[in-house]
Amino acid sequence: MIEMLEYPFVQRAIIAGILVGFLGSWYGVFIVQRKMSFLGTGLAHAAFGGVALGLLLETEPLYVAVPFTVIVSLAITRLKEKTKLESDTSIGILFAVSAALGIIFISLKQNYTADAFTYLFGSILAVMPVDLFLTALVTLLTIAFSFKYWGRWAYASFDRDLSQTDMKTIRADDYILSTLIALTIVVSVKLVGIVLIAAFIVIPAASARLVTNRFIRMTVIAVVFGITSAIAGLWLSFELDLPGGAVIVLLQAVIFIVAAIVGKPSELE
Amino acid sequence: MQTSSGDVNIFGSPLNEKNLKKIGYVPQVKTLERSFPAVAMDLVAAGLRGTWPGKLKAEEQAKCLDALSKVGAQHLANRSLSNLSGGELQRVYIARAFVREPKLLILDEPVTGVDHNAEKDIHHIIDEYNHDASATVILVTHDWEAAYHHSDKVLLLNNRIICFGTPKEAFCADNMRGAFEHVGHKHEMIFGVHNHD
Repeated sequence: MIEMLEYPFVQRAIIAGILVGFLGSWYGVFIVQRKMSFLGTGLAHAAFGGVALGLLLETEPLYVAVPFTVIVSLAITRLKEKTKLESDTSIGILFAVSAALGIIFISLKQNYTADAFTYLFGSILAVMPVDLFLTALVTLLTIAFSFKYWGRWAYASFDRDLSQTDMKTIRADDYILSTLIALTIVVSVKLVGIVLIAAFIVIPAASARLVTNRFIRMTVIAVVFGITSAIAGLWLSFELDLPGGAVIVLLQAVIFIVAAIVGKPSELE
Repeated sequence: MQTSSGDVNIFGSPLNEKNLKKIGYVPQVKTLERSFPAVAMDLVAAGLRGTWPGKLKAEEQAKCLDALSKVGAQHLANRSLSNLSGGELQRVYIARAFVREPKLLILDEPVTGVDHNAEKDIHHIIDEYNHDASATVILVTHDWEAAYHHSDKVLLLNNRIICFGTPKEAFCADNMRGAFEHVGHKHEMIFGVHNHD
């Protein structure tokens, strides 16, 4: 392992793993408490549409996927706000539309398969400096916003009506959260893979929920689970020559099972 | 909530997040997400900060415990909200309103779904706050007996303003008929006969 750290692609994969492990679990706690797990799946497929368009246009796929996914995520939030549809319905619609677009974009490109597979299943070899740069940028944005917004998002997740008696810009808060979640999903795609992103975000937060009854602790524990499973998962995937994203998610599942066994059910009724 | 017309001012200044903190509010319907990981202390501290609390400073902790003890719920401080009964939860919500030491306290049906002893207790707690903090208390209720005994002024509403006056003025037979839309026979009001401690 130590000698492998000399390879730049390994270094990039590890740094990216730590950053997306942090980002995914940080937003995961809000996704879990707001019952929006399906949003992860939806946005991952939106990212697929964006990546496919980027591949078709022969540009850096992330440059297209970032705005594409953010727009879809804002559209989901808007649809939920404006119509009587539940969010899973609007996610379900936009998710299929984005995936359909992605499939058509990919089919229009002749030599497509290899690149597309990288995004679908994730690849630790594929993390380029530009990916790392964007991930670091999203991490900085996350840290900057969290000082003010962690408590506001948490309050609105706890009780939306009650939080409105203290906070006036709750709708704007929602849009900011959706945008940052969309960005997190896009920058996680290359390492984790579109197919696995939703689980990657939800499992550390869900595991943390099982072992504590305070939201602040849930957040910290989720982040610890997210980062350690990313590092350990990448190490295992190098050692065993297995796909990184899949190994990380399986490790998270092990953590979840342990949490479910040792968790204090009396606190969680 | 959006105002449909006019302006809302609190103590002479327009509504914003800062002066919202001058109001203590206890909602009738508890719309909390039951699966959210929170203890009573967190909810009270949310009232203090106007946002969800992370780690509490010692002085914040003391204030929250003080508010909880005012409502007789200090022992609930570290209990999960999801494990509390209706009455216990109501006390915690009142502590959340008290902790910011509001000069205006608004309670919406504060004793609905609460057992008889707790009901007396909660009215006592509210009266005490009203007196000790010299705060204005607005109590929304369908329980006219409680309104009669615990208020200085009563605003009787049924789609329109029926009466605004002292409890005695408000709860005269004519007004009661107007408010509760009884026609044809006169109800014997029980206020005069009933003694309240």
